[in-house]
This record gives sequence, structure tokens and C-alpha cells, in this order.
Amino acid sequence: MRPLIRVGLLLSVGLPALCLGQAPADSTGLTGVVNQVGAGTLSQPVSADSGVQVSAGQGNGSATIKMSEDFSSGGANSGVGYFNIGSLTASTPLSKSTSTTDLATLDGLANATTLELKYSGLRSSGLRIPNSAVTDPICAHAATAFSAANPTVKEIPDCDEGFVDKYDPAEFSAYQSQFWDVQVRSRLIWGVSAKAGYQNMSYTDTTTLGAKTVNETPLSGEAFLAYNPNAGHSLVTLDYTYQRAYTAATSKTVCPPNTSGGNITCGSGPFGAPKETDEELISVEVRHAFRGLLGVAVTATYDAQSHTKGIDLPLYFLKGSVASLTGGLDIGWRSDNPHATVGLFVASTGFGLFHGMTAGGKSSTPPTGGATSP
Amino acid sequence: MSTVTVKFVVTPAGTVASYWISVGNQDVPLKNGQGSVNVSSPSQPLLVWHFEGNAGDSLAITGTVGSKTVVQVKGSTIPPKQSSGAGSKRFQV
Repeated sequence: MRPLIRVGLLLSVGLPALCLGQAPADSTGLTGVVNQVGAGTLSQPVSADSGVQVSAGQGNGSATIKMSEDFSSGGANSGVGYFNIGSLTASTPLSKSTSTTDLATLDGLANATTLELKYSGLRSSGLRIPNSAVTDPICAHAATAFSAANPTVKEIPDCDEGFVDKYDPAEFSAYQSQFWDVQVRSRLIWGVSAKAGYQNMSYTDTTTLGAKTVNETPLSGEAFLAYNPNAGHSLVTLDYTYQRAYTAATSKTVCPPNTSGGNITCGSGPFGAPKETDEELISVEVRHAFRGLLGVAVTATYDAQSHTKGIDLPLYFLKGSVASLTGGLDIGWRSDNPHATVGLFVASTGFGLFHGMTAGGKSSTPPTGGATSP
Repeated sequence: MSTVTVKFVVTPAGTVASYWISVGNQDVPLKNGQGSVNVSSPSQPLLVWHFEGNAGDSLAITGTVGSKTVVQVKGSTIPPKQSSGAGSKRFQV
């Protein structure tokens, strides 16, 4: 755990201004950390001499340093593409708390200082080299339509699926099929991650009423396998997650009797040692996007420790931007609560099919319906 | 006829999950979005790119020989309702 302590010191010393400013969503305004890890700006991850991408950021009350590498192999000539991403992330809270956050989510370690190792891979089949005799006329037709729609624009954009979809939509399928063989197209995504934290928690001893401090080590690990048949709008994911988290005891004000007869001194805080909570979650998720108008992700989860079952059904229909669904209605049920829950939600990222896998060293959190995970 | 090395830099934007590029009959392996390929000169090879992500995500590609930019794709975009994008561009070396 010592390396984690060093990271925390580095961030708190190197980034005094960060703690006071408004937290940006991603890696911006972190010149202090950049200067310590390499040259560059944080609009993109920094490439250190080793070739490892390094980025730093703050958000949600924590400061983060992330080292990542991604590898692309295969491609259109071999018909199959492989893409792998590995990352090591150190994160420390900007303001320390003695209690963890919502244990019902799969990320109950959020408030602790953490070190996280992730590796994920994607295999995509059906890539192919286009026949220029087919694509060139389509691009020429789309370029003509572009020029007609934009008579003052001299430079015609590069021809790609987006361009053809916009300026020659009737030929979009013909153009797309030149790049992807729909007969053999599919995606397989897998990943493993491990996360360990360091959490210093103070509490009042219930027997001696004295102040005590204990160092806890929250842990979590996850492995998943996802299949995207025909590279379409559905994704089936099998996931296993183990988590050990700690929750502070209920806070109380305690006034021990003064045996010498003087004034009574009271203290307040968590009364009793932190409680350890173990979760071992096995889940199956099926998500489907309906024409960009509705995203559905139904998850059935079983907690092997508590034998609790849960079903979560977030419906994404609120758009956060032109292209992404970021909010909607969440319907949930769990076996230890006789009542189903219904609520509105806003996800940190839009509805997607790639299980949070993002190239380029940027952080990405897959939307989770944790409100009803057992 | 000689051989030149074209260096590529691929820059994803948004939530791009994966990307691949090919030049002629060669797939170009990339590490952190950078890779290179040898091609005959003079020639007009075809750059082909594929990428996956969510609608609206984009990819930029720059190919250079020495300090000279020989091919540039400023922002290929995944169309609405799609989870992948692709395109091709012929260039001169």
C-alpha cells in the first residue's frame, strides 16, 4: 500500500490549485501533473519516453493518474482486427471521508485511494478492402451532392461512411458493405480488472470510548466476456465481480462520565469499528439499441455471498447530445426488498455497446444500473 | 523505384473502442495510435481505415514521410445509428 500513499502525496503537493477549482469532467487544467509526468497538453494523453500514454485528471472529488497502452493488429487484409488496451490507474480522494459510498453499486471503492489494473480486448471480424470501382462512383456522387448543398465550400470532405450516409444515403448500404462483410461480422469483447484501495478510518471504540484508527484495504476484481452478434445493436455480457468494501459505523455523539467530577467532554463520530461487506456478483446483461431512440439494458445479478438476486432495467431515452442517450427511467427489483423501484437517472456516459472500452488512454465508465444490484 | 517509410498517427475522439488501418495489401500494426509501413515510391497506395465506437465518434489520421504530410484524414465519423465507421483515400508517395 505504500505506493498508493506516495501517489496521494504527489497529487496533493503538485496540484494545490486543483482542489479549489471546479472539477472538470476529464483531463483538463492539470498542468501541474503534466509537468511531473512529461511534456504535452492534456487535451490528449501524454506520451512518455517509454511509449506509455500517461494522463491525469480530476473529477468526482478525486485526482487520477493513468498510464495506458493500446495495441491494434490485424485489419482489412487479414479480415480480422484485434484491439487491446491495458491501463494502470492511481486515484486518490481530494477530500477524505471515513465512509464509503453506495455499497449497492459495483464501485463501492470510489471514496478510497485506489490502484486499478485493467486489460481488455476486442476481436472484430468481417473487415475487408473495398473495391474502388464500387466506392469511387458512390463517393463522386456524394461529393456532387455536397457541393450542391454547400456551394461556397471549396474543400470536399474525405469520403467515408459518415459522408456517404449524409450525402448519398441511398447508396450507404452498398458503400458500407465494401468495408464490412456482413456474413461474417461479429465482435467479441473481454476484459479483466483488479482494484485495491487504502482507507484510513477513524471511529470511537464501543468498549473503551477511546478514539481509534484502523487501516482497511478495500478490494475488487472483475472479469467479463461480451458478444456482439453480427456487429449489430445487441450485446450480451457475462460478468463476475468480487468486492470487499468497508462502511463506517453510524455516527453518534458520546459523552463519557467524568470520574474526577469536572465538566463532561463529548465526542462524535462513527461509533464502532467499520463493517466489512463482501460481494460476489455474477451477472448477465443484454443490451439493445433501438434505432438510436431507445436503449435498453436488462441485467440479472446474483450475489453468491448473500444469495440475493436482482434485476435492473434502465431505459435510455433522454438524449444528452445529438448522438447519445444518457438518461431515462430505471426499473429495479431485488429479492431482499418486496417492492420494485422506479426512478429517473442520468448516466455519466451515453448508452453504448463497448463495455466502457475506450481507445486513446481516456477514462470511460460504462453505464451501470447499480441501484438494484444485490 | 525506391521504398519509403510512411509513419501514421491515428487520433480517436469520443468513445472510439478500436481502430485499424491498412495501406495497400499491408495491415499496419499500431501502438498507442502510431505505426509505420514501407511502400514503393513513386506509387499511389490506398489507405483504408476501420473503427468502432458509438455514433458521432470520430477518427483522424495523418501519414508522413519524413516531415512531409502525404495523407490526412481530418475527421472520419461514425454515422447516426451505427457502431462503426470506415473509409478509404488514395495518396501519392
